[in-house]
Amino acid sequence: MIVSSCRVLVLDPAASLPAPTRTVLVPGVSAEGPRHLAGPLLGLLIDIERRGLHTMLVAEQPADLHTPVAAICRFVVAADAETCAEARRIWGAHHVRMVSSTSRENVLRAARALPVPAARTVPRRAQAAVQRLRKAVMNRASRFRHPQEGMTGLPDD
Amino acid sequence: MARTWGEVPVVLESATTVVLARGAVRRPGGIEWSHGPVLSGQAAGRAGRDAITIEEGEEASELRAGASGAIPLYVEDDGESIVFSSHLDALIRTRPTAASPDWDAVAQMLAASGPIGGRTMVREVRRLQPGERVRRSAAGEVVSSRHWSWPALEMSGATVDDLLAVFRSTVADLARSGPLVSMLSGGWDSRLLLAAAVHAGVRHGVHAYTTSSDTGTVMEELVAARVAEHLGVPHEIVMPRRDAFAADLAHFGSAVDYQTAFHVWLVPLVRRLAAARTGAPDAVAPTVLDGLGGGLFVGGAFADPAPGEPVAAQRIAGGTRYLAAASHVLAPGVVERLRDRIQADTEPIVRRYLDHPFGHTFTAYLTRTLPGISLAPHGLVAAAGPVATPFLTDDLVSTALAMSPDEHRDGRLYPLLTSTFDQELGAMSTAQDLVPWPRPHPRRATSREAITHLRDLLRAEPVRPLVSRRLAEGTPSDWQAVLSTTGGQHLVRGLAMLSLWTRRYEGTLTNIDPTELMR
Repeated sequence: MIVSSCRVLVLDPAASLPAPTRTVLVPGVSAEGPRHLAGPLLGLLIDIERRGLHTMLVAEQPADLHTPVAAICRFVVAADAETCAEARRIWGAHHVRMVSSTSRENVLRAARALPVPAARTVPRRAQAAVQRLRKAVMNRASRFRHPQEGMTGLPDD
Repeated sequence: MARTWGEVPVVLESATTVVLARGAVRRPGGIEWSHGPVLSGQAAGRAGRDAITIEEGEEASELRAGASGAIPLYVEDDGESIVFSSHLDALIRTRPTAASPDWDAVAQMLAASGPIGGRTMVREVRRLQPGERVRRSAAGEVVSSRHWSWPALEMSGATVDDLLAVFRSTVADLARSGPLVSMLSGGWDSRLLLAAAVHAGVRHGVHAYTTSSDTGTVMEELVAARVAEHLGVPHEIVMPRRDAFAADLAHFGSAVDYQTAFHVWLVPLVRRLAAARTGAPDAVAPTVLDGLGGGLFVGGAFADPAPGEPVAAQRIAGGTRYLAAASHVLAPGVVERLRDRIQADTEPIVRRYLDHPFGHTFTAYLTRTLPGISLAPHGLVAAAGPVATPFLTDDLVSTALAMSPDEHRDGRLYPLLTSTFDQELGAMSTAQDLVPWPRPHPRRATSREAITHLRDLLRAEPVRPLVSRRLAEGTPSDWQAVLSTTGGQHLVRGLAMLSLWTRRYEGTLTNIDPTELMR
């Protein structure tokens, strides 16, 4: 995982996902990003979706928009006018950000300007913390009765 | 070249009876009505088809519907002859006199699933119900009677192995018939069907497609991709386009005769299937495997909740669940009228099966699956090519109902059955297990593009008076808030479908004034 910012990361199936992450940048295939939903990438994307994080496709050209991985991204950032126009037709104008170039700075700025994902808002995080606490109490009670239970499962973040 | 009637082929025409149908084949003693592939011998009975028989004698002719009733067949008695058609539109447009709206049916389309109890959107035409028989005497008297076999079945101690044997054989017949298409979601039904097909040996090939069900998460697509990868099946994700929302809504309405607003989200996938089939000869057209009925007859869905409120009241209330969001969407006074019109047809069904061990199943089947959901495979998908619904075969349903309802409870059969084909797949989480809260993705229906179109439809006459002032005059944010909820989105889609329907039949139907729903 290349840490580009404390809250914006570039997708890397080989790495784990730090807790403060809000947005994961997904390079398009033209920038050697992933095309297919397969292998460890699938597990990572499921984890990202479970956490309710934003995914932002960095599209250099129209072909970047038409891959299985692109299909599950929530936002698109692009500099090329044709790519932007096609992305708006597919994702809707609200979910496409146009930048002057897809430089690291521009893309990070666009990603940081996204609204906080609903799952990462303060009320929701507080609620999740209460749920985790409640689950932990229940697990402890259940482990007392059944020592094998309550050992699996990942926390929300 | 076959004669057509309202653009639908005539497959039978006698002095008293006319049958119009796409997907029907004339056989000795009747008509075989199927949207599935052509199978022969014993397999023909297991492929998800409704065999409809017609007996013609000197004194009377009688048409007997199949047990599932899932393939729509519409009936009109015009006084001189009785006409059956696979398409409602063909009957409406070829009537010598104008048909009139059935406002109870319209209310049920708008706020429930679709027209209940054999109603259609017009009063002059009925939809044949499961096991129904329609007899027309030489004197012109038409009598309809019900002979539905499924509720009469008794629990006879069938086992999971019995169910598995029937299911396995049904899917194997389909796998032998030709190439298959899996509409793979993140749920159990499509996973089970695909696992069984792969296990049977898909010698003609199988291809899986997934599209967004617009519920605010891409977990369906991700879990489907994981299942397809595990089974080694080629998989394609069809992404819906915001700029095609209006076209998709119109396509869906036309395909299902405007009788439900449920599965608009499926249109992009159907377009993709149609494109894939363009130029391919009919003989190799792949058959779509559809999970219709799986949730009910295998998964035990819509079981009664915990004891408390009386069962009858719970089941009746289930039919109006979407009205919970109605005050944000509908004008004052409309909600109660809609509720009355839905409940008036739901209650007799609830009472009829109240004491049956599978009463919740039959109630949901007759008030939700048949009126609305069945039109996705048998209206929308069938228009693009063959489709089979293995969970609704007579053999499978008979075996499932011969087991105890407890064995179906909470979907416990799914992992059991799936594990027999693939242990790892049986243990794999479904999208439902993993779905996040709050839903992280904006729904397509909440996009500006969709809102613009929906507002145009709902603010146009004659539908406008039904819409709450708050919504009609609301900002895009107000619309987004309503469309982000399941109930709100359902009602808005229903009103949009009503708007499209009034446009389609303006000048064809009499008294097409939806303010009738306020009375």
